[in-house]
Amino acid sequence: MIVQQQVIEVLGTVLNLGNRTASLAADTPLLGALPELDSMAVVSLLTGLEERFGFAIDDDEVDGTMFATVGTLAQFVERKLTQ
Amino acid sequence: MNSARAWFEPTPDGSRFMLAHDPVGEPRGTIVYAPPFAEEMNRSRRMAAMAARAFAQAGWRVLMPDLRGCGDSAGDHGDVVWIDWVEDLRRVIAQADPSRPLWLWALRGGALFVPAMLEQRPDAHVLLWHPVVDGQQQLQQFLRLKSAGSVAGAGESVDRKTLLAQLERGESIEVAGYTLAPGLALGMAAARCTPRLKQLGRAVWMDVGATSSVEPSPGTAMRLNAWREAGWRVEFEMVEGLPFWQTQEIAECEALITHSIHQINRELP
Repeated sequence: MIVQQQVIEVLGTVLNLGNRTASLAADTPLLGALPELDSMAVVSLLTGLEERFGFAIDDDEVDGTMFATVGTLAQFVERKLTQ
Repeated sequence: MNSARAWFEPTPDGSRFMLAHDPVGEPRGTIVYAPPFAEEMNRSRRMAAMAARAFAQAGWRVLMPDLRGCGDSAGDHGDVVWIDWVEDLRRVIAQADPSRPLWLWALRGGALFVPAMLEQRPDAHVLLWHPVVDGQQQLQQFLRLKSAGSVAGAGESVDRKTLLAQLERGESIEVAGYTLAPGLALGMAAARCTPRLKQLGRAVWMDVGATSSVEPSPGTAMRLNAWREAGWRVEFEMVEGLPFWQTQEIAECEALITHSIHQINRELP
């Protein structure tokens, strides 16, 4: 399964998007667009990604730009996987 | 109709608020609630209250304490050390009728207190709701509210290394409006929800997820293994619903309540 699809699955699970998960695409905005994405949800998302992909995300890797869209988040994960 | 009573329990370091839901007639036994940590406790309050009323209606006496520094209990959150909460819960267990069944009902981080609670009543049954089994992970996630908080507009970020260094120097830290003393952080980081005694009662583990299932998620499967390796038989169930301890909109999961009642009222052969 490609990384973006896995990231969408994590988003759907962590944010409980239910049916809305299917409508997520690379250009879907996240931060600022999804009201569910408060600080507790951001933390759950980081943990969810770590568990799903088996890596650890350092604090200094985290900034707002990674959460701009589904696509930017998927790119972040892809970069981490090739490290 | 069952009734709810509230009172303040005196302790050596101030009073503790206690809420008891009693059934009509003789209780089947007692259920003692071990609540989640910080904001998860706030967000799950309504669901916990709903569940307690339903358990009482199903014949159980339910004891729900506010731990030191939480809710209506005495003390500042910033003065709490981990052992305070362990002692609070042990004190509640001491009030349970020793001649009747006892269920330890833990939601999320409340599970971290279960091994200590079992030491007091080794015959108790355990009902875990989407438990946090690793206190170090709970601490890390809590610190992340501050280190990743600025992303979600929750104030300036301070990285976890800095926060941990502060704690190690003996300084309290402030995260998401909660003051955390070193003694609370250290105790939490060392806590694990893995059994230390031989199994005498039942263990029921219920996760909440997108679909109902008898199969746990890979993460939970790993954590269940730790129990099984300790020789415990754990009855697992995933119930469909929202993570009500985390959602911004107050959510409920009735299915979790009805499935739990089915489990605790089940007569085993």
